[in-house]
Amino acid sequence: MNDPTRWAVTARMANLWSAVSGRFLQLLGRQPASPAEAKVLLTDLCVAAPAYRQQRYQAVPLPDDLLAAFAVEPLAAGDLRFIGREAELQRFDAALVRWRAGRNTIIAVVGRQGYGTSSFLQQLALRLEEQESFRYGRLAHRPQDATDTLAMLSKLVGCKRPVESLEKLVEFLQQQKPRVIVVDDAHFFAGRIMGAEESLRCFGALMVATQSRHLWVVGFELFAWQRIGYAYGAQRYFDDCIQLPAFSEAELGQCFTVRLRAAGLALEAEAASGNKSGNKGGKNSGSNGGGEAGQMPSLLTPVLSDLSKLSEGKPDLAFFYFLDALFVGEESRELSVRPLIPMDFSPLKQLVHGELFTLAEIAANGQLSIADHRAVFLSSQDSSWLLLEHLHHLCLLQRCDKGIADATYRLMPLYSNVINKFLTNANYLY
Amino acid sequence: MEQDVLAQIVELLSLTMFTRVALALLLTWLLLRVLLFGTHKLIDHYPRYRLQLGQLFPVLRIVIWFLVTAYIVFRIIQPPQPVIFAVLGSLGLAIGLAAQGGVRNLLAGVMMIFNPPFRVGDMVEFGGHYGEVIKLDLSVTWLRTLDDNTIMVPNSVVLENAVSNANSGELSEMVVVKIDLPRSVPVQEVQSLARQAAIASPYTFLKKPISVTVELRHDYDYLLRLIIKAYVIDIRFERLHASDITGRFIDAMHERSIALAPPPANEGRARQGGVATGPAS
Repeated sequence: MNDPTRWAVTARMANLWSAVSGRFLQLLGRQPASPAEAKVLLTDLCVAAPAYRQQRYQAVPLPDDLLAAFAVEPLAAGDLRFIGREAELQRFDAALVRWRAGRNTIIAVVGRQGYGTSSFLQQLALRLEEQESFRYGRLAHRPQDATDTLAMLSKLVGCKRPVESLEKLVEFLQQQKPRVIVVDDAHFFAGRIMGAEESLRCFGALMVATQSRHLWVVGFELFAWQRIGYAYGAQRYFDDCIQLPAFSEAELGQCFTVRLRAAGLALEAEAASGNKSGNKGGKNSGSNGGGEAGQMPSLLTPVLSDLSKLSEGKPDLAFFYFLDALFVGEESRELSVRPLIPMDFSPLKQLVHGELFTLAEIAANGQLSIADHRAVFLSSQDSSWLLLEHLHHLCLLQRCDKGIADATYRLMPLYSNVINKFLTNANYLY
Repeated sequence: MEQDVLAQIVELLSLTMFTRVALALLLTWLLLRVLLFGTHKLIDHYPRYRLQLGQLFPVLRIVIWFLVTAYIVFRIIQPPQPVIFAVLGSLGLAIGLAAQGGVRNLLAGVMMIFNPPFRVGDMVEFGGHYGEVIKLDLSVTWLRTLDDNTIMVPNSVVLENAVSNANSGELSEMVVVKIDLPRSVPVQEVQSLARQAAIASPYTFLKKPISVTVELRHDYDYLLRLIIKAYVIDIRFERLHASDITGRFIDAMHERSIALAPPPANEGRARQGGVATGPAS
């Protein structure tokens, strides 16, 4: 048994023994149920945080170009790192044909957080013919009222000055050349705030009124899409819904390969090593020479299946697990891979109702500001701030720093799948 | 004959037999504790299915006790036929005599397990009490009311009376919020606000429909009754849900300066607008 595995087994045994002995002592009345126990376990959520895990083993830091290769960001049109999604792109092509034939078309592109919805939407520009026009826009925040909605929509469709009424915006769009209008991050319309319906209705009316001229493509986070469907029946206005599934193992493998290639890391050793079975997590012996870059693919092969299972086809999580498992030997200076260590999310069970409802709202809305949280939960500024900051410090939320008053919080991207699954199972998210 | 039977019964009694019976009972009790613990663990793991899982234990308990009783009688005690008939006869007599009391409740409990009018976790109303079923014993049913009182109801009473079950094994449940308003309010605007308040509540289960209706009623004066019907995501939040919708609605009315009470001219004569909430029945 190698060191990390021994470390993991020892830690689990110690936790188990601590739990059993603690319970026994509690039954005997020797040890009260300590609130400190919950505190410690909740804080353990941070153990899974990238910063912590990076520090845990890395005596020698990983090469910068390797880390840069796995940076997570939406991929621009034509980016070589965009892979897969052929079936979904074909569905878009079919919709494009229908639109060119004069049929009114509004399309929704739906995906879970981290499944590449924004990247997919940006690739659509490449599917158009030369003379066709494409406009991509994303919502930056939740529309506050009808005026704000009109201002946002005006900007989105390329109107230089915000218009005063929906009619004028429709008129403006009808005068424009037919184009594909892509609206990303439309989950902002799914807010559970009094008056949010007005914004959504305004957006819907604009799309419906101009669909004979323009092809609208709207990107939603899955739960937001479901929510506006349940609450407002919005799905009836869309002709097609392209849902982006999780990446398969093969697609994930492609993701890794393409990113390594794009980062300029050589792949020649892949065929030479080809050691698919065995060597699972052990030192890589298949590659001799070629340095760190040459070793990469053969390091990936034995862990790819586990990466796919642990990440459930979510690329950023797969990247994280892979980087977490990689280390540079202190003496050999060669890259090796250790067994993947799954993250432990059991402390999520200790969250209380208010925290779970907050996470569920953030999951369904994409993100919440303190003001949004106050409006949804009818709480005070301080209470909302306290709760969101607490969840942020538990590494469950990521804070987009814009100052305290304007800070927005979203689910920690790496954990979004796990949190969503937990919330669904606990009946807070649907 | 009676003396023979008594003698046979006395012959059966021995320290070994008592020890074995005690051991069987102890093991059964332990098994049931383990099953209860396991059920709770499963519920913790799958909170969404807690109502379905919660109904497993009462059924398992009665099946296990039945099997253990049969095992004790036929494998440990092994009484001769005359003793069996004598005991069965006595039992029959006892059941007949006690049918008005505890045994009646017991039989009702057995019937309820195989043909349940509700399950553990359901929100029910009977005998003027409304609350969550927290435990189903063989002879009694335990309710926890919204005021956190625990109420014990004999099972025979449950079977003999009408029972209103608000959620029937589902986690979501319809909550009805009734708000009385002065008749002068703008009806459509108020309906729209009520609907928005229901959608905005984090406790509302949006998968199920929300309806807002109005009706005219007379209580010293003409009033407009607003009836908001929405499903709560989990029965545990029923009161919070109703209160949240009401609060949001009232806040929205204040924001728009819509009066919640009749004009001052009617003061002293008219009853002010009020709020009543409760589950659908």
